[in-house]
Amino acid sequence: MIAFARWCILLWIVFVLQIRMPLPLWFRPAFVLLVIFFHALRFGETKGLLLGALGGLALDVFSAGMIGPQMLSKGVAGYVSAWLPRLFYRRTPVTLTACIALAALIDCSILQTVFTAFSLSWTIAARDVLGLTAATSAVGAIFSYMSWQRESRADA
Amino acid sequence: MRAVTRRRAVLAAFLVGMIVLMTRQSRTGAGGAGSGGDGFGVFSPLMSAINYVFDGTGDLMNDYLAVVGTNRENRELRSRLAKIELEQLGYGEMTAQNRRLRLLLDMKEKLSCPTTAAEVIGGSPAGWSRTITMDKGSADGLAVNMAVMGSKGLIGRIYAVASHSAKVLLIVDSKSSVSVRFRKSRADAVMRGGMTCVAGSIERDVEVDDGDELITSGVDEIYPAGIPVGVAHNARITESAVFQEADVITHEGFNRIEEVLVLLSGRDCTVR
Repeated sequence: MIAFARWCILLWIVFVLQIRMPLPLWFRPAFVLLVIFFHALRFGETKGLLLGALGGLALDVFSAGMIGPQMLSKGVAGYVSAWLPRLFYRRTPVTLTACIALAALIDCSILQTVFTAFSLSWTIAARDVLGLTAATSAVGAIFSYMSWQRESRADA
Repeated sequence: MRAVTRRRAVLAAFLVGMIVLMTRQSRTGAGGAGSGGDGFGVFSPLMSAINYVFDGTGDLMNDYLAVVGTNRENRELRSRLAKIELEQLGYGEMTAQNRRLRLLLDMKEKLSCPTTAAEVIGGSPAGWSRTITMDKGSADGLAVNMAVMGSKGLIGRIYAVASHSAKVLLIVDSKSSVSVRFRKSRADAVMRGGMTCVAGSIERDVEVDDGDELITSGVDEIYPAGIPVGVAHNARITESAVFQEADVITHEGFNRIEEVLVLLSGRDCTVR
């Protein structure tokens, strides 16, 4: 419970940073998703879903739209974040980055689907989704490496 | 196995819950967060509180950044102002120099002999001696006893020459004496330097009024004739009662000489 509260605080800090950080339009990594991913990686699907839903709720509250899309996308991303790494035999920075990319892709795809309801052309929708996914994966790669190093040290 | 089932059930419930939530919102048109629809108005106070904190922090940061920015801008402006003031001083200096050089040029045009302009680079190190040092010397054709003029009149004569500098004994030095003549009466006199320049050896019967102009006579064979020196003032009979004398107010202000004109051919020079 305390650990979850700590993650919630971390999520909150990252959330604040994400909405306040002046980033260019072409590079907007989903920092909140990264927190959710690493949390889910450690604590499993249910807790991943829970933290994802909470993070999504915060994002929904601060967005002008309805409550739910971010909750849904982040919740699902949190769930799959715990599940995806099991697809790989070994956990390396590359596989972790691939998992982050997949989680980001799922997150962005859900959001794009809900927000635009297929009103955008496939090209533009794909460009947006892939752009966000790439930005999140790029930042996620750094954290994947750090996480892998930490795990390696722990194993040793 | 049960754990997996439970997890999947949680996911399914979550998905269903989300879909229901969003469908209800889109049907009722309760779009925005905190708009009150579907009981989500509960977020309004939370949002307001968070916004208040964020905006307060943001305002503080903005104020701080503004102060820092203003200080930096202030420093930059001060620096620019100082630079501009310095430039302006430079321009003022250049304008003044230009004016002096023009006057010197006017004087040069009145002279029939070749001249060279020189810049004063030093004054007399000893208080009682009235000399100046200029930046031209024997390498520029200067020699001892050449007359030196300012823009308004006589200044003195060269008494020591180095290759690139020369020293000038000013007419106001106590060791200096100049043969002068009253322009109006044509009477000769000898002007001696000192705290007050005095034109002596004026014949007793010569009428000397205050403001009578004195020019060089050329009799001393150092200074060419006709160079303005100053004006007579306070003429009086001497103690010997043979001659009379008068104080001389020189044309040149000897405390602020910056550029001078050296007469290169000495006595052969005439003033138009």
